[in-house]
Amino acid sequence: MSAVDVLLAIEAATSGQVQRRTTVRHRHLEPEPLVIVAYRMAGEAGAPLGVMYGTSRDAPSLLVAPEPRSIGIRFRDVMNPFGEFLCNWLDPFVEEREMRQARHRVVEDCINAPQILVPNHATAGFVGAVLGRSLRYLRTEGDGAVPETTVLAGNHFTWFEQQSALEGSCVLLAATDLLRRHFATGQSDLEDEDLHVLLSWVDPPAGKTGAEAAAEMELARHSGDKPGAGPTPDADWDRDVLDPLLEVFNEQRAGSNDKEVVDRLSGDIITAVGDALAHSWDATWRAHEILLEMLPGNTVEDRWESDRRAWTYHADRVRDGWAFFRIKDTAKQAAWMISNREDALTALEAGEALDDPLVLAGLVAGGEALIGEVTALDRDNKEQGPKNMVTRPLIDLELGEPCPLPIGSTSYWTVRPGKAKVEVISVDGSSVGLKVVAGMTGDLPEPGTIAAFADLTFSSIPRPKAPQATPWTHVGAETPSIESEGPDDTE
Amino acid sequence: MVTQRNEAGSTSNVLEQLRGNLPERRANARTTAALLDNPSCTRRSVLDAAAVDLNKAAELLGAPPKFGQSPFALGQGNRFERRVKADNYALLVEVLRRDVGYELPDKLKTFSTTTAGVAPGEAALEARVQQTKDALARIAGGDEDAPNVIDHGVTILHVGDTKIYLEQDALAFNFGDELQICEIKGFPIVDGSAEPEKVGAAARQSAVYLASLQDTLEELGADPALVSHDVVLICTRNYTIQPTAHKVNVTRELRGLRRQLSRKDRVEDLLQELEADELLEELNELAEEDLETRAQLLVSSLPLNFVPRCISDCDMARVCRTEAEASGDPGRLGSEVDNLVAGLGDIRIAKDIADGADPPENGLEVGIVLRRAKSAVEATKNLAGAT
Repeated sequence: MSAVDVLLAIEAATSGQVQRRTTVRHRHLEPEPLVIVAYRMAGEAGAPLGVMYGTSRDAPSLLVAPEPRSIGIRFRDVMNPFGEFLCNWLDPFVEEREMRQARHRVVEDCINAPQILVPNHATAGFVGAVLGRSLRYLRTEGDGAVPETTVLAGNHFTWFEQQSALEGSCVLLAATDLLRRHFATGQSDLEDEDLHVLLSWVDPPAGKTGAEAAAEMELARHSGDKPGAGPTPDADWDRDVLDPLLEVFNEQRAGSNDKEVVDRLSGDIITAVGDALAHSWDATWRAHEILLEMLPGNTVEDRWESDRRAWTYHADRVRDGWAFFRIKDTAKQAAWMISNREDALTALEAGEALDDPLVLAGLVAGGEALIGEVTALDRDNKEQGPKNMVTRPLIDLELGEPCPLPIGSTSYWTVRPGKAKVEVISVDGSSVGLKVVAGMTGDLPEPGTIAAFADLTFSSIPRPKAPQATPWTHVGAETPSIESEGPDDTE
Repeated sequence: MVTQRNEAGSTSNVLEQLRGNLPERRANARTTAALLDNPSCTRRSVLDAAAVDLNKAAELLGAPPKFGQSPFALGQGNRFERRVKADNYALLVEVLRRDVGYELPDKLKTFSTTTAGVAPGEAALEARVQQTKDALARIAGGDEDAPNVIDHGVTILHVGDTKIYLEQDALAFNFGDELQICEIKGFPIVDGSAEPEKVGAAARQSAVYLASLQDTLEELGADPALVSHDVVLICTRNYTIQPTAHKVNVTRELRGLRRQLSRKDRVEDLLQELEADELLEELNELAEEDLETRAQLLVSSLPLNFVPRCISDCDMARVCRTEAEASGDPGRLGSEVDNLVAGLGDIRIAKDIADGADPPENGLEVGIVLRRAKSAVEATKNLAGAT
């Protein structure tokens, strides 16, 4: 949290109004993402009670397992149809390709990557990690066999989970994360994780401040008028709504998992789950609407492009029937993944700061970047190089406050990041002398304009080639073998 | 070190009077583990020491907490525990051998405390304490017929001069020459890892049991080091209902707990700081049945230390949050805001400084940071090419 973020939080708390943390949208948003909202059975890590999903706000689909603790019902009524839906939805993303001439060969890139939007962090974990891990090793033959699409869906979910761990990736987004990135509220992060309350801050009804609307929403959440956004339902809802219905249902079906019996008796439970999930569904789409209205930052599409490349890699493996994931990464995979994440973080931080003055302000406030008025530009300044005289333009900058960077430090003009590189050569109170040491032939900031300089680049730190065999220092971590698993009845 | 309960001790007397006829809550492992949640909160410390039922008190103050467990979570936990313990702990023995390599005899000698023939209440608890002690004495003394498992034992922990009975839902295993705490939990361990919050809560709670077992052994003249600092958690494996066992070292939690416990006079000190006598006089003037006013007066006299995490840990959280908001407490917004502006004591002052007001003498540096943030926001708005 930069000093600017602290200031914005204080302003939000004292005014009762949400504060914009950004001037643009920093995440790619599809106009029609796959929205998933889900409840799971309390006490059961991997047993969904209901899933509401779809790519259009007006046409949600609903799957409910009236007794999720029975594997028969859980898989027949939710897991298998949901897995099948997911595979069908992803099919065009896998198959639709465009040709691109790479260095030595023609590659087939996927036209677009898929995007899933969920209400909150916990649902992202449920959809990605829990469904992914609990489905991908299931048997497709013999005892407790499930359809192949269920297992493939597990592999897809795992891909979404792993890709979304990259900073700035937009394949699996939580509405609370998105709203928090773009707005500062007058409450803590923990409270912001309740989508309904967070949305009340961001989007209060007319005539109310965000703080007032949020306080009212919190009361509604407490009284049970507004059910939780999932995936774990409220304890109150479980006790007051679901438990009585489930008791009747289980008594009437008398242990039968028969489709005809379950369908005939489960109407009330399906209605109750659908009603509860509808709140979360609407809130997630409202968040989508608010964020879609914001203009995207310039580098947003670059980051979506890396999501598309990663998706293409996964889609190729799916086409080859080889989209498997390990339980535990090997040492090499882990090293690769860490450096990937570091690169993604560097690119995201740079991209956001360059796209958005308000984010750059955080760097300026932290003394990591300079901003001021250009008072002089000497394009033709020459100095003795190794052999000949070379051109090293000079820029004078008036900061209006003491310079936070020491003499000798280098950074880039934010208009030409990675190209127009300057070095601090003199500091006199609030005026700073800069020497252009790279990219001197292109545009440079003109006198009278406001210019900013920050050490931001998109290039990754070059890394040595990974050795063929894992070095002895990194051997020994146990990699559990993958065994196919059968689901358990917890009834 | 074991402190004796001091019935006439002035502190417990004062605490009892502070509570008066407010609803009482008996301390248990969970509330004791809460000593580690927010040790610097005077309000929590005193109310806990006075055994005030925080949930009911918060309700009296019009801001009841929204906690409570789903009936399904409760049911699942109980089913799992029954399953693991069925057939003389057959499944438990199996996972302990397989997952943590314990050598256990095929025929376990189990021991469970009983209250048969004793009236419920303190006497029954005392009877179970004695039975638990006897079993521990036999284990410590190397008795060959000593039990391998003590289930539902009751031990005592002294917090200040309050005596807390702990019903151990943990099991003490005795193998080789080590006693081991073993707790059955309902959450899953997936591919060797579990949610850190859940493991943390289990570790803190186990540390409480561990501390009381150590004290009991010491009281018996045995070596408290007999109890291992490695606690075994029995959880569900992956997304199945099969059990798995993992060791968690709770030395750090135990040390933290001991540190809190050794400040045994802290409640006494706190009461002195609060000038509890005056508060008591005020409380005593209240009408007996006027519980709302009593709760109001008592709670508001105790200084609070609200942090966002209180919302998931403490029954009083909503009461305290309202107060923290009204006073502009920077801690209400989380540690990062607090780290910067705590010294100013009030976020409204911070806001005024950012807007140009003179900072107080102790806030000159914070003032510079806030102003710089404000001016950076203004300056970047004028950036050439800014959107």
